[in-house]
Order: sequence, then structure tokens, then C-alpha cells
Amino acid sequence: MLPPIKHGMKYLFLFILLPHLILAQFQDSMKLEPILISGERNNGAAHLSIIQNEIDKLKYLDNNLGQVLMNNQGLYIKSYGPSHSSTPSIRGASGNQTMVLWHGLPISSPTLGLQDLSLIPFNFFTASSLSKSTVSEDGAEAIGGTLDLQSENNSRQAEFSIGEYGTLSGGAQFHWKKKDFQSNTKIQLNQAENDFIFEPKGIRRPQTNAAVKQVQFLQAFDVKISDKLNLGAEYWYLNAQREIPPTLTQTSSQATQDDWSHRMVLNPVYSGKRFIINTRIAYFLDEQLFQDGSLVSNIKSGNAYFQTGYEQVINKNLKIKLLTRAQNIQIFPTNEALAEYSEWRNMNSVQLIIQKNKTKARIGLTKEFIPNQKIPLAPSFMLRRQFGSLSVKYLHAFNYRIPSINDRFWKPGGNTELEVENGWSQELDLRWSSKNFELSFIGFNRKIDQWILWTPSDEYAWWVANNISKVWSRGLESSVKFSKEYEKFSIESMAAYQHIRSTSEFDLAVPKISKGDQLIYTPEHQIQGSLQLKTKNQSFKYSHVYFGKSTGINEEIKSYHTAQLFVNHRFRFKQVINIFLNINNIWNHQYVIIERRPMPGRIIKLGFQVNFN
Amino acid sequence: MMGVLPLFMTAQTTASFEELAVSDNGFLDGSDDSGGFESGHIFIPNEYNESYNFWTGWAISASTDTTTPGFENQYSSISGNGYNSDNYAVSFSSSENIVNLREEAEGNPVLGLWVNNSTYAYLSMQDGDAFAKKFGGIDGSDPDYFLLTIKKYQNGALSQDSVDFYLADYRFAEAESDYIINEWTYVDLTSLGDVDSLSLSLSSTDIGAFGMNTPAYFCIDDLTTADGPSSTSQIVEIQDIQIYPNPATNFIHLKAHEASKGAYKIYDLNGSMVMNGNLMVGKSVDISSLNKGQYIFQFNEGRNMSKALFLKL
Repeated sequence: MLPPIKHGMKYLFLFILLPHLILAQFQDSMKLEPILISGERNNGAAHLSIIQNEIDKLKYLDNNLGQVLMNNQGLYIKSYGPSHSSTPSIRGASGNQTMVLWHGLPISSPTLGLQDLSLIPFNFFTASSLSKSTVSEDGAEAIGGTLDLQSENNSRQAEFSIGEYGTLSGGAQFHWKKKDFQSNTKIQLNQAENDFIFEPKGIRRPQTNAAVKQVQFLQAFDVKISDKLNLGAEYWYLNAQREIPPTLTQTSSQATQDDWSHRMVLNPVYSGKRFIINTRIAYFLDEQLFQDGSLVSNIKSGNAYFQTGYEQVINKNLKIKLLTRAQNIQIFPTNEALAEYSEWRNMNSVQLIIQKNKTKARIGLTKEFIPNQKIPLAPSFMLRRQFGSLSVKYLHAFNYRIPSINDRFWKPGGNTELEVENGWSQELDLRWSSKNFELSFIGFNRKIDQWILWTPSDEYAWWVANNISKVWSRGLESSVKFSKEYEKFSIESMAAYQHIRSTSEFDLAVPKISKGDQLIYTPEHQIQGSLQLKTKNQSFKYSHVYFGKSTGINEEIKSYHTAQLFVNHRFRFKQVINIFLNINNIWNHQYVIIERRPMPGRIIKLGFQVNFN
Repeated sequence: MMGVLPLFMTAQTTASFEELAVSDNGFLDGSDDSGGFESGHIFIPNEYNESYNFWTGWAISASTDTTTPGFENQYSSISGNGYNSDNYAVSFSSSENIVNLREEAEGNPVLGLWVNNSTYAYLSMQDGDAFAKKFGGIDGSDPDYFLLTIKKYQNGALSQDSVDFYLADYRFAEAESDYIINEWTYVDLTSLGDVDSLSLSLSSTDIGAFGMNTPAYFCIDDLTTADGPSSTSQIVEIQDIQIYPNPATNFIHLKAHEASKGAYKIYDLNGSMVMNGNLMVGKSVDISSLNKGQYIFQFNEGRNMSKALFLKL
């Protein structure tokens, strides 16, 4: 599907670069070019693309989005195991405070309020971007950042990889174009036994009941109906079958979880002389079946969207954007704990974008309406200025998160009186770049009030959801990047450090946390580094991430680090064939991210990719 | 473990729950808005929330499932029955649970009750589950326990005297001694004295930021109350005696304030006599031939009778 013009600089740059990239494959010397550069989304917040080059596209082609974010972005991902439930924690926020968008529409589960990143194949969405800022135009859930899934739809390729512990992955993408019609087809199959050995307290144990299988299919059509009217349609199917392994303090597990998703979107775009109308009509159907012995939990939900965005260029310095979205959430009666339910929502936002010379400002306002919910106005302000090689951006925004369906209606414990989580955040972003260097410092500050927690009730013997906490998150994210091309090779290196303090502002008895204590599963220190070397036909990348200690629910989580090694050789025939070796956790470090849930040690994978472009 | 305490020769009533209409393998969860259950001279409260279809307090069960793990099997005792009966009571509470004494029992001693683990809690401690740890931990050495503490209310005040009963105990130096109770076990409550109501609460070493992880369930049966002195009975005060060591492996010794001799009988928990003989205080009884488990030691001296519970290792 052709990207809408409203995404601006990002895609314009891509179309200029891409033909050169394809041509470069047949040149004597391969220049290392970024595929996608940071750009502006429709909300005006600067997003960083999750991957920066062709090597990473190859390295992560059989990974899910959670794995890429952890290993490539140093983002803390709460993972229950390889290809098991994975949710992001952006600057100390929880997974249900991060919005995941597809075609600008939230795909997060309305019942849980979050999206399992292990169900998103990165190979489908290699142009995805990440925003750690909270901006109201992203919608309610962006109080803890936004992941925007974007596809590159012009590939003809097939890939296959095989690794230890029964790891198998295969995929193919086919792009076809004739005149004004384009078709993009993608398929991805992943499976693994995950029967790795781990050694808690020196006792060697094989992981059991941990097999996973995933099938994903994506079909996109794009038709240019006229010079002004373009129509896109896309369908995304997912089926994942996962066995849930036992914890370290559990003898065995029979638990399994199956997930299905059918996601369809219709996207007509009308472009006038100085305006664009971008409409999305979508329906997402999600179902999850969890079984553990006699315990069976089946949850099925539907999300219907109608969204229209209007963008008008007033003059060379001023642009206005309007967005309105109607959403219907439907909960099907498949679970005794969650009755049949339907809810309408309406979100409206307006943005003014002012640009003059090297200064850009954006003022936004969002208002959402949901029956029986008091939702505040959410303003935001962004100012960016370029001073030569130095870019300075300041962001000041108010955002909120609506309690999920489970938070409000789960039996027992759901609380229909819950208020929305809400709070102000500020961010100061300093970036300095030269030909070979890029240096960035980002300071952030965010307070979230009415934080929702499920805790044992004083009155009843079950857990209930309440607005009982307030969280203050602040910290510093710093990084330095170096890249240089020599005659016969190029080199890229990166080092990054994040310091995150995300603390409770209240003393709580349950969960037991004192004012000023760091939240659980929120490491204070995160370090990341990588080194990449590339010649005409070979590439080598070593990356290393470190996460400091944190506290779990029952015990302390030790600090851990993992490293990856990627080596690739390219053969140039009629097609381009890449053969690669990928070693995850090369130093075979034993660690857990979620307490009592062991992560695998070293895993070696071999694979190849054939590019027919 | 329990010591030997005076036993009053009074009228007694045992709450066995057998008079309550429970279907085969079924349960009563209070969904009929009964507010609780009455048996013998006790009333055990139940709170049922119709909005959530959820109960707390007490339920009555005849469930026989001893193998299914998890919350879905919350009504079963690990032995799959009551104490020599079909029906029994199941407790579920995040804090204390109450047994109210009524009629002639109110203000009098509670002699004792039979206690067992629920299947849910037993299998959770034995194997671990998604939320709670397997007792002993990864290598079996963690000193875990699951403790039932019984106190009394009298004249509206909660006493600090308590009777502790370990539903599971992994604190022994030898791992072979670690246990999780899986059969009905008698708990003597006479040391609490006169009682208006009982408070029963659980504690566990498996606790985290959100409190106790071990499922907060246990089962009781045959709670015996003293109903005040009978017009024809005579209260006979019994001298204190003690059994030591307890637990014991080969011999137990009888100790009392005064030298005495009498006849002893040893019963297993099913009520079967497994050993008897004559004994002088200060002498020992050879119990090496007994199987491992709990036994009741009864000592009769004339009109005097006393009982003690001991554990054979």
C-alpha cells in the first residue's frame, strides 16, 4: 500500500533512496545507507525507526517485534520466554500504557489494554517506528509511548532459518505492480520447541511445555483510482499456538494459549491541491484461548473503526490537521468472567503545525468521549529548532489511559468506578550530528496519577482494580553513534545508556511498596552497544545489552546482559542470496526477565534469504 | 505438636456437616443466600457475592477430586472425603475465618477438630503453580511452611493465645522429614479454654509484594464442642501428662507431675487401636513397630483419662 503523503519527509526520503539502494547491490562497493530516517508522524512527535540499515533487516527477519526492540533499541521488554508474552516498558510505564498502531489505529487488546509484541513479526513491519514520548494525538494509550507498525511493501524475497532447540522459520514476500494496481503478499511461519537447558542453583533442567508455532499472513492491495483518489486495502491474519512452560518453582505445566487475529482495513485517500483526506475503515477480531487443566479462559473481542483525518496546508508556514475517530468495542460472551458488552468511543483531535525556517512548533488538543467515563482534555505542545548541527526539541503534553475492559468489568474485581490514569510529561531532546557522529541526550519527566493496580481487597477475598497509586518517572537517555566509510569497508558503532527512575509516590501496603521505591520490573540502568563492519559482500555485527537489577513480585531480579553476533555473506547471482549465522546470547548467560521464567542461553541459527528484486 | 491437656467429662456435640444436603461430589457455596452453615452447635459464615458469583468464608463440600490442580478444584480435600464421612467444610479467606459457637457450646471449651489440606493448596505446595512456589524451592532446601493459627474470641476480644497447626512444614534439617498434610489430622483446642468463637487464619513463607501466594484454603470436619456440664456427669480434673520426644522414632516416654501407673492405648487417626498395655509414668513405650504417621495416646488411671497426639517418624 502506498504510504499517504501526510507522513511527509519520511516516505519522500525513502522513495529517493530506495532505487539507489537496489542499484547499489550490483555496484562494486556497497555503500551503507540508512533505510529510513527519523521523521515526523502525523502527531508531530519525532519517531525513530526501529532499525536503521539493511544488516538489521536481515539479522532480525525471523524475530518478533519484542526481540528487536530489546536487542536493537535496548528497550526493556517484559518477556516470559522466547516467543512468549512480551510487553514493553517505556521509561518505566507498563505494557498497557503503550499504544501499538497499525494504519494509525490501535491494535492493543481492549480487554487487557495491551499488545503482546511476540505476536508481531518484525519481517512484516521493517519500517516500524518507536516514540517514547507521550502525545495526546496518539490516542489514549500513548501515555507510555507509541509503536507505529509500518510496512515496506516492495519486496520479492524468500527466507529460511534453522536453529537450536527446534527453531525453524520461513517466510516470503511478493510485490506485484501493474499500472495503477499494486499487490503485496507476505507470509511468515515460525516454530520452536524451546527445550533449552537452564541451571537454577546449579541444577540442570530442560525447559518443558514451551513449544510455539506461529502462522502470519498479510495481503495488501493498492489502487490508484484517479489522480486524486487512492484506495488501499489490507488484511492481516495471525494464529499462534503456545505451550506455557512451568516456572522455576513449578514441577510441570500443561498450560497452553492460542491466539487468533483477523485484521482488515480499507484506506481511501483523497488528495486535493492543498489538502488530504485520509479515511480508514477497519475491523479487528481477536480471540485468545488459555487452558490449564480444567481451567479454560476464552476471550473474544471485536474492534470496529471509522477514522477520518483532514490535513490542510494554510500557507507555507502553517498547516492544520483534524482527526476524528469512531470506535466500537465488542466483547463476545465466551467467558463467564466477562459478560457480553459493547461500547462506543469517539476521539477528536486538532493540531496546528507552524514551521518557519528552522523552527517548528506543534500545538495539539484531543478530546475523547466514552459513556460513563470522565475524560479530560489533552493538550500538547512541541517546539523544535535546528541550530546548525544541533537539534533541540521540547515537548510538553498531557495524556491519559482509559481503564481496560478487564479493569472495569472482570468478575470478580472489575471496578466500573475507575478513573482514567492521567498526567503531564515533559521531554527535552538534544541531538548533535556531523558526517560521522551523532550524539543525543534526552531528559524526560512524567507523572501519572490514578495509576490502576489490582490488589487483594480488604472487604472481599478476591482482587479488585483501584486507582491507588501515583508514579513519577524521570531519567536520561544518552547515545553516541559513529559511522564511517572507507575504501573497502564501512564501520558503524553505537553506545547508549539510559537511567530511569520510576517510583511510587505513595506508600502502599499491597503491593508492598514505599514512597520513592522503584516500580517492580523497572531496571534503573540500561546500557547498549553495537559494532558493525561491512564489506562488499560480508557483514558482521556484534551487539550487547545490559539491564540492571530490578525487583519482582516475590524476589529480586538480578542484572543481566545478552550479546548477539551476526555474520552474513552475500552471493550475487541473478538474484542476491544472503547466507547468515545468527548467535543469540553468545556468552550463554543464565538470566530471567520475569521472575521464575528462565530465558534461553546461547542459540545458534543458520539461514538464507533470496532477494528477487 | 499438641501436649496433653485435661479433658472434661461433659456432654459434647460434634459438628460433622453430614446433616447438610450436599449432592454426591457436590458442594454448597452459599449461592442460596443462606449466609452460612449450621452443624452441631456451631455456625460457620459464608459471604456470597451475586455480582461476581464468588464466595468467601466457608463452603460445605462432598467433592472427591484429589488430582485436579488449580482453582477450578477449590472444593476438594486432598483425601477426597471428610473425616470418616462424606461432607466437610472448606475455608477460603484472605484474613481470618470465624467459627461461631451457639447454644450450649457458647462460652465453653472447644475440644478439637479434624483438619486437612485442600487439593488446591496441597498440589500447589507440592508442585508449584503459575503464582505460588513449590515448597522447598528449586532444590528442596527452602524452609517453607503453611501454618494454620487458631485463636479464640471471648467477650468480644481476640485472645493472643493460639494453637498452631502446620499444614505443611519444610523446615526440617532432613528433607525426608518435610511434609504436607494429606490426611485428616486431629487438632486439640482445649488449651484455648472457654470460647465464644474461633478465629482461624493462614500464613505461609511463600509471600510476595501482593501477600500470600499459597492458596488460602483448608478443610475442617468433626469439630467437637463441650456443651457445659451435664446434670448427671461429674467433672474430673486430670493430672497433666506429657509425651516426649514428639515427634518420636522408636520410644515415647510418659511424664506427669505425680508418679502414677495405668493403662495406655494408642489409636491411629482412623480410630483403630494399634497398641495397648500397662504403663508407669516415667517409663517408655516401644513404638518402633508403628508405621509413620500421627497417633493418639490415651492414658487411663482409674477414673482419670488423658490423651495426647504424637507423630511417629
